[in-house]
Amino acid sequence: MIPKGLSLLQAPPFSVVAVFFVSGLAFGFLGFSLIAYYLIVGSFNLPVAVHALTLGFAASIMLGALFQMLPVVAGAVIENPRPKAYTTSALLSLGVLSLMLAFHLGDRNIYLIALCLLLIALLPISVLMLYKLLKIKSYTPTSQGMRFALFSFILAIGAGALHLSVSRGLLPMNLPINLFELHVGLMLFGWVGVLIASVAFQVVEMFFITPPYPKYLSKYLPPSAVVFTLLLPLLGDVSKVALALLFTLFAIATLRNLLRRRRKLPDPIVYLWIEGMLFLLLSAAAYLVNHFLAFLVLYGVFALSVITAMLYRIVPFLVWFHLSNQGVVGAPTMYEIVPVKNIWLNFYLHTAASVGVLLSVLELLPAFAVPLIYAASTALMGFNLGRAMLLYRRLYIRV
Amino acid sequence: MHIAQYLTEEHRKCDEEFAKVEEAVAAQEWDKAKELFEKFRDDTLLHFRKEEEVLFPTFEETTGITMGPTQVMRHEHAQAKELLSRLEEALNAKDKNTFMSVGESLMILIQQHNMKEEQILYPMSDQHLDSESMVEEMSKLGEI
Repeated sequence: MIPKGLSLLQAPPFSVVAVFFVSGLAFGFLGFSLIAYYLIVGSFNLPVAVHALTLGFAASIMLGALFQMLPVVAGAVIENPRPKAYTTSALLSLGVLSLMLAFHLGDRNIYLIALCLLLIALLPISVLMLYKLLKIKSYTPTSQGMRFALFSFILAIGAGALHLSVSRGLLPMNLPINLFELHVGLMLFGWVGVLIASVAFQVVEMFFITPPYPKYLSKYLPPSAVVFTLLLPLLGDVSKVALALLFTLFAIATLRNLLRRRRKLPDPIVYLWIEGMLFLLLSAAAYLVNHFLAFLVLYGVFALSVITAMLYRIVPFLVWFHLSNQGVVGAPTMYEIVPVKNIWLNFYLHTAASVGVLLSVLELLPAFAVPLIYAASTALMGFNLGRAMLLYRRLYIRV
Repeated sequence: MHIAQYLTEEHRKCDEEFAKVEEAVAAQEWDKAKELFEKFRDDTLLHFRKEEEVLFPTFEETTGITMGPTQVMRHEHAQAKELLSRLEEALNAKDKNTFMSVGESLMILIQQHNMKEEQILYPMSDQHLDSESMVEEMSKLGEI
């Protein structure tokens, strides 16, 4: 019998993580539905769709994951996390909705509201997380990488806010460098790419029993990626080649490790990781040949594949973990919380959409079908993980 | 030998053993799975004993930290033991699905547990304790 209510020094309450995941999945569904709508009516507003997915979906889920990982993986404890998480999540959701509306209407006042909401939502928590990470004395490649990812995120928010303010006439000034390129680079490589890589350095070995990543990669990828992104306006193509090379090396190392994993059983989570890495390789090629839209879509598939894989591992585990800590005897385990056949179904749906991306490029599939399948995949993920959270709630109340 | 190296090697051996059990269960080779599981369970429990009977008490006595990481580790050992007995029940009932479900929870629990030990507790132990004599004491309980 496990002692009931024993305080675990590190893990934050489940609701802290759950609020970010729920809103993230809702934005994922909204973003893909919007893209499908735009493609059907033939009028595309890229900034609206992109920010629903990058900020509303990806950033929300990644911030939720950081609330969980900072104390558990890096030993950086965020005190009193509930109000911080709830406020951040609520302001972020409102901010993303306002930003989408502002991009849609082009209204100056709504831009201002969106900027204020997003800056208040994102800057304090990112700075706090970075400060906590900088304070820890011993660090691993993962916690070191998280520092660089958060540093990039803060700069990317600043660059984005400044670019928007100037380009929409909110600030009467001229900028000496191309902040848009810096905003996109820091968000995609410095924040999303470095964070995923840093987490992979820890969890790929852990979840699938693989050899560790080469030390040169886990140590040098995060700082190099951030430095070359920052140098994009100065070095141009040299930086681009370096970034493509870095993430290609990461993808190959991950694929190599996954193929050498000791847990050889068919597992949709492993396949999602493999899929993500294959799309990362494709996106690096598109980046090198300066095809921005193709790069954006392929890189998006990489991030979405890995995020899907991570959510299906983390959420059921946390449900079991927290219930077990509550003293629930015989707490439901992973596949009792989300049946493995549901994860397989989601994997097939997600993969159908990812293959659809390639088919639509070859004009073998109408483009609108792709976001529709992704919307269905995200809805299924929301259903599976939402049910897991409700199960937690039901069993938690009983205790 | 350092405490970190000695106990980390045990983690890796147990990981490999579990991967073999999973494969046997997936192939529904129940006799083989049972044999492999017993080896995995006994080795895991022996590893826990080395920590709970030798490492943790000495660590607590030397550092004065009694309610910190060692308490969390003991708690996670208790959670792992509960899952081990559920795995055994599933194996006896030849229930592949339950085995896989419980096994996945156990794997993640153990992996994040090992990570905390390898990155925090073991280095701290090597720093504060006499590594050679600790390893010698733990070896007396048996080898994996």
